[in-house]
Amino acid sequence: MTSSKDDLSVREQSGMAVVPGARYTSQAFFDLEMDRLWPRVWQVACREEEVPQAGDFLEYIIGDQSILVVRSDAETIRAFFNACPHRGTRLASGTGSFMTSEIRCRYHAWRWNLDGETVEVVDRHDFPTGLCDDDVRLGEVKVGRWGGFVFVNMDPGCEPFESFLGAIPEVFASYRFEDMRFRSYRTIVFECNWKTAVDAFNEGYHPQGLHPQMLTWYDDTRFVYAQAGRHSLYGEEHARQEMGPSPRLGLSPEDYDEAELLADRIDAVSGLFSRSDRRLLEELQRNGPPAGKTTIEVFNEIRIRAMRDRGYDLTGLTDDQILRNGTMHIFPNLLGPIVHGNATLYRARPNGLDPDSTLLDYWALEWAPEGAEVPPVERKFYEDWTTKDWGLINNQDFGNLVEVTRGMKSRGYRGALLNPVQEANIIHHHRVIDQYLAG
Amino acid sequence: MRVEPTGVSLAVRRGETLMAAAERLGYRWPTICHGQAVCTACHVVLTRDTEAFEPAGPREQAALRLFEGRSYFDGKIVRLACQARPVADTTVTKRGVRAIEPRPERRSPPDR
Repeated sequence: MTSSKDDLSVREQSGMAVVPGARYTSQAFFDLEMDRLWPRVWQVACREEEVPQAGDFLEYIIGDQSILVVRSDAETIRAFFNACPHRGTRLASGTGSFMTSEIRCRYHAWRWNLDGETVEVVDRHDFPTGLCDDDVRLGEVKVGRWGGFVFVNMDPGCEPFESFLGAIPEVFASYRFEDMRFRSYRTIVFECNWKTAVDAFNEGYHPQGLHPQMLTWYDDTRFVYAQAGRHSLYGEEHARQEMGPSPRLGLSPEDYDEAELLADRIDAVSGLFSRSDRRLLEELQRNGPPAGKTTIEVFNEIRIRAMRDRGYDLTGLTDDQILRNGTMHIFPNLLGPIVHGNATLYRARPNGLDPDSTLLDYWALEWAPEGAEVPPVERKFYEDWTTKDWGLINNQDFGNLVEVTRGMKSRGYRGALLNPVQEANIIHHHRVIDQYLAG
Repeated sequence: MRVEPTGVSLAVRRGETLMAAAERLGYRWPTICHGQAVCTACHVVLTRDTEAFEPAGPREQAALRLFEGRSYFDGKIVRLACQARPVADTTVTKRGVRAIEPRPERRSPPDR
């Protein structure tokens, strides 16, 4: 096992990082991750809102491991290995609520309370008197909470949750993830390694290949990349103050039509605007900006007002903060674009023990208006992603996952030769994985 | 073949696409995918004489579907310059078509 890991390390070549394809495609490397990464890393099991009431539970599945996340009381969320200490039976599946605040095994009816303490071992008198409650309590999994996310860690000796998160709570404080609620929750099966799915959203280097249609109105060359402990982020350093297309088109301002660019920008965030916003935007498209203002200034003013009208509390944020885009990657497998007010997050999990199959959870989160009752989200499952139209950009990203997978299996593939700047976060991801595999 | 708003005049050969003709004659045409009917950046807007081009083939038709739902193109007739083959003289609108060498002698100011 050790030798296969050594063979599959990230190697240096001409001063660049080369990631062997087998890190994505080989069963040996996948097994190593299953043995040393997933059982020892903090990972997002669910959102707090998925277990809102005492007694609510959710089954979190990673590879062949099932973990039960349980709301013990209003303040406490616990997690347990989802296996009866008696004969191993899985205690609960999916989501639901434990009746009478007890967890009862379906096989021999042993029972535990919501803290995992033993309530009853049926016919206990048959067992030696030395059997104590702790021998049969539920196996506990560590829980950490930040931003409304519930993290779990199967390793009792794992690093403290706070040191795992590092600077993340500070860096992303203004996004107030704890105030967000699900707008939609979809899980999709893909024929790819979980890291291929992570990589797909971990760089902004691919739009000119995969999403070239965007480049007529979108500048894809402005991202800066940064690593924060195990995690990473990338995005615009400042919000755009001009309308132009991607510089890759080599156009100067007299070469493009600002009205066309404005229309495409409006289309891209069209869901945000109310009818009155739309009237203002139509006026802007028809007449151009008033004297002394640029089109993008007026567009951004309308955009910010639309966010406030939507109930977003933007207090304390500068316009620049509100308008810029970023992507967050929480190691190992949660990432996606975030703005103040909403986030599109992808969680990529190995699907069973197959290195070529991934469960991609596709979460749309949004700040809930204060005091608003948000109905529980409906979880939708897609065995085959092609049964739904996900919109142009997603369709392009999703369709590419299988192409990467097939190509990486080529005998002629010499490994990922990554862009040291724009794919730095992918390199970082592999290096952090190696820290876990080495330990 | 005339390309507005710059007023570039192109002598397109039989069977040649608009973009290929422009490139042959020393003009730069906006594109990302360089003729693969993917990026749509080369699109032209036809203001008249829609029959002045051969009908769009399957690849171009697939790419033109990407203009559906883009509000700016509502009611506009669009073709891809990398695919569209003229059969008659006409005028199309495409910004950003510029002579590479020598520097363009005349260039219209932007519309507004």
